[in-house]
Amino acid sequence: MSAAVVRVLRMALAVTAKGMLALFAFMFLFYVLLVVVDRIFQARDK
Amino acid sequence: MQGLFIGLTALTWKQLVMMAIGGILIYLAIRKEYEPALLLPIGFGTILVNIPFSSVLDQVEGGETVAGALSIFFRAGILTEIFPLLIFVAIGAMIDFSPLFRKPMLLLFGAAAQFGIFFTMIAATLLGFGLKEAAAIGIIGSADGPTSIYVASRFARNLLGPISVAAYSYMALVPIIQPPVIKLLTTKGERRIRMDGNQRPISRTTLILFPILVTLLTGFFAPTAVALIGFLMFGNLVRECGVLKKLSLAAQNELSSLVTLLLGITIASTMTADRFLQLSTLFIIGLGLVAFIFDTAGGVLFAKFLNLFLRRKVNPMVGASGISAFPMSARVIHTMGLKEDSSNYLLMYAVSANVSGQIGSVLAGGLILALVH
Repeated sequence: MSAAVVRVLRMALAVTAKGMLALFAFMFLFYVLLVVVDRIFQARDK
Repeated sequence: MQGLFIGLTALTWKQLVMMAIGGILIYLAIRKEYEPALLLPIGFGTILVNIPFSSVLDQVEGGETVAGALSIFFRAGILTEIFPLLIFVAIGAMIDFSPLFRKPMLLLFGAAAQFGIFFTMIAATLLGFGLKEAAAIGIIGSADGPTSIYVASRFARNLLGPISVAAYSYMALVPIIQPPVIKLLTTKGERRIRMDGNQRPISRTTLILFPILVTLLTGFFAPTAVALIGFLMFGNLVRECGVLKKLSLAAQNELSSLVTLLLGITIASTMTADRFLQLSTLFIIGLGLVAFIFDTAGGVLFAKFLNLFLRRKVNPMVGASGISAFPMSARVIHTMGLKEDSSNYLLMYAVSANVSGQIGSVLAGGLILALVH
């Protein structure tokens, strides 16, 4: 593998780590949002 | 007289091959019904742009550039990102988030099943693609045509044609790609796991607030993703607000149909022989398949991981519908569930995971735009 490929590969690995982490973090935030909003308005509707 | 036949005499074998590819796409659209709304316009457009001196593309005549219709559409609709964003409004208007409120944990599958995007990006760098091109190829794994087009138009305009064709073709092939991967990674017992749930109604206020709050949250933490998520959620707000029924229906039907038509035929403007008939196209078609396989694997393996901690187990097949191909993937999982146990109805859960996949894929596109420089 050439040095250029290794350099791009390293960047891709960094993007993968950050990307998957951020994706799960966002989905977890949306999960919390979903549960909280649902609880508040479900109770209010009742 | 010679000028009359200039289109015929200038025809090259490469252009003939491209016309045959256009014909195959039209065949797949009509006979196999593989994403006909997209593959038919792309197929016909491929024929159009490979006719020598075709007036649908910019041509130089007497030292002056004469604008072609498809070139104009490309500059106005793709380079400005207007077409994919309008499609997001239409998709948003079609999504019903209420199944997600009934089983919110399934949101996490929308993240896990995007693994194929990143795996494929890494694989593409190993094949010698630059980081931006690799990211644009990886995004085929979003299983979401407009997101693929949006990211590719930013990062790799030269690869837009093959990326779009791969994205839409594999979306149509989900019923063929997903089952063997799922079977390979699960036992018969796991595929028979039953999931319990409820069908309670969700309050209208909740459904109205959700798209607004998701847009705000995304905007605060990842402003680059706001255009993608924002247009999707705007479409959903139009649907859920209850006072724009006509607009909601127009977005779901007329807007979606018209923009899809324009998007398809405009993408075809990049399918010229000199751009498409390259080794990189073969790599992209292969990598697209890798992306869908690893998306499926990501979702299934994450479900199995969660099952290590959960009291009420999740059927790991549901994890596979965390991809964005809606509702194809949910239907595939439901059918597989019924084959294993004719009284096990997984549709509701698969639809929830599939809806979360639609959010996840758009978010992944936005994150890729933010993280890749």
